[in-house]
Amino acid sequence: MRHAEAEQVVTLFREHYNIPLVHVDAADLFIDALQACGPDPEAKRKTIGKLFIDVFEAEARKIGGAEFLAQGTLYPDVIESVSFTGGPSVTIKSHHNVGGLPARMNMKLVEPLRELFKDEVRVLGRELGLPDAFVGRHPFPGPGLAIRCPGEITRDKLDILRKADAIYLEEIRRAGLYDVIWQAFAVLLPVKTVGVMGDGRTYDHVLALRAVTSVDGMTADFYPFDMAFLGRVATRIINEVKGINRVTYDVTSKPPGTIEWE
Amino acid sequence: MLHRPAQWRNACDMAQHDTILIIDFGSQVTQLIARRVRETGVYCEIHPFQSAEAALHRLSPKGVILSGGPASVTDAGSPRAPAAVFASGVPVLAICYGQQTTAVQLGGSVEGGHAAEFGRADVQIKAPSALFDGVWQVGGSYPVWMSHGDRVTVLPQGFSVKATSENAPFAVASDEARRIYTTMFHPEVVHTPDGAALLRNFVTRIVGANSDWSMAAYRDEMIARIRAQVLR
Repeated sequence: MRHAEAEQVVTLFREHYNIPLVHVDAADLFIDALQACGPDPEAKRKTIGKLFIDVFEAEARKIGGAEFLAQGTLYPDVIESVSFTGGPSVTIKSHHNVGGLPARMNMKLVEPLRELFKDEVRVLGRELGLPDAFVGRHPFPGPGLAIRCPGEITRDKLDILRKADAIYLEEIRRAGLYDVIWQAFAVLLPVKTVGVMGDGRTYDHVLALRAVTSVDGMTADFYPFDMAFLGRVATRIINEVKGINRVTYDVTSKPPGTIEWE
Repeated sequence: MLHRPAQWRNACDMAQHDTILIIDFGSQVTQLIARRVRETGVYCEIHPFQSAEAALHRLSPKGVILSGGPASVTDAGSPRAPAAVFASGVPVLAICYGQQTTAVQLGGSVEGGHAAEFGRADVQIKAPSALFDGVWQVGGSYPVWMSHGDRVTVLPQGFSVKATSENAPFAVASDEARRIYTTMFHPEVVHTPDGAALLRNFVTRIVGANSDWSMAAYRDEMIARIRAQVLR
């Protein structure tokens, strides 16, 4: 999770929704498993998916089981796609059913957003009176920060990334750009370079900044920040976050790139 | 396997809204057709051509849109729209591949091997059509986005040309009496600046669909559905 994110979600559920949310901090479990699983992106995703199920199942047992799983499946996830190779049959895209959890735990799905596109969901959120800050939140990947930290995962690297990401987003909000950007985040690269700070030589990580505009996430362009903004963010991150001595900006569009790095 | 109750498995209870059925022939931009239709406040669903007939019966749509697609109608076994679409009497808008299969299915013909046309083109409006009403004037020239290899060479009976472009003698052809409108260009992409207005004309003026698809209404319906599912 990003800086202060868990607290924000817990606050939303307990104070706005009046829903008795169970919040489990399983960070140690995840980080230990990720450290053991190595740098392969697919292995990281699988490790996280499997652990999520284990933790969810254990917690659900404690409260006597869960009958329903509410999830935010969107219309583009459920449109059957045309297949020319498969003859008259149609392919149904695999759902993001968190690793088969519903079938394994005999849960029924509640998917109230199945008919909607993402921008319609945001309109619906406003109709429901949700705070703008939550409705306009940038998308965040299910596997979390682990896939914004290419290579081996360590607690230290995640801490460095979390601090740098928080500064980057704070500057974006301060510049009034958060809502014109589809998604912005930092990526901590598994590359160290030489720098000089004060009278000393440093040998620290490189951080990449990413920000894209998009209407629907299907295609995306990098956001054309002005150089003064990028310079300000880089200076703050290098001064305030120990472990980073160089900052770069990703200017790849989608396609050919993807929005996330892993 | 999954315990997904019937009301979630398909959107059949959304059929209380006036619905547009979009039949997908595999275009990369089919979802954009749905976006443009929903922006007019009208509910729509996308279904692949293979299951379009079932969707037609289940949804009883007020109008049908046929998407583009990568196949060639001149190939044996290439996709077709269900004949019931044309027999049903509901207005049809057929885009690109949809135009070509409409022409072939209703007695016209299509040939490959002409100069392919990709990207921006200008259409000249030759005759009025309900599709252009209030948007394009006869005699005018307007930018559109083309992407095709094949083209229609003989129109079905009842159809006439409403607009042409340099490489597309049938850029728009329609049978105004049967309310079947076909375009060689893609109105759903932003590169066709007036495309959204043409789709709006089709959905609200020609089909006359109710613009009752709003998130305020959706909120109430969905809360009722969740209650019905979860509370016992």
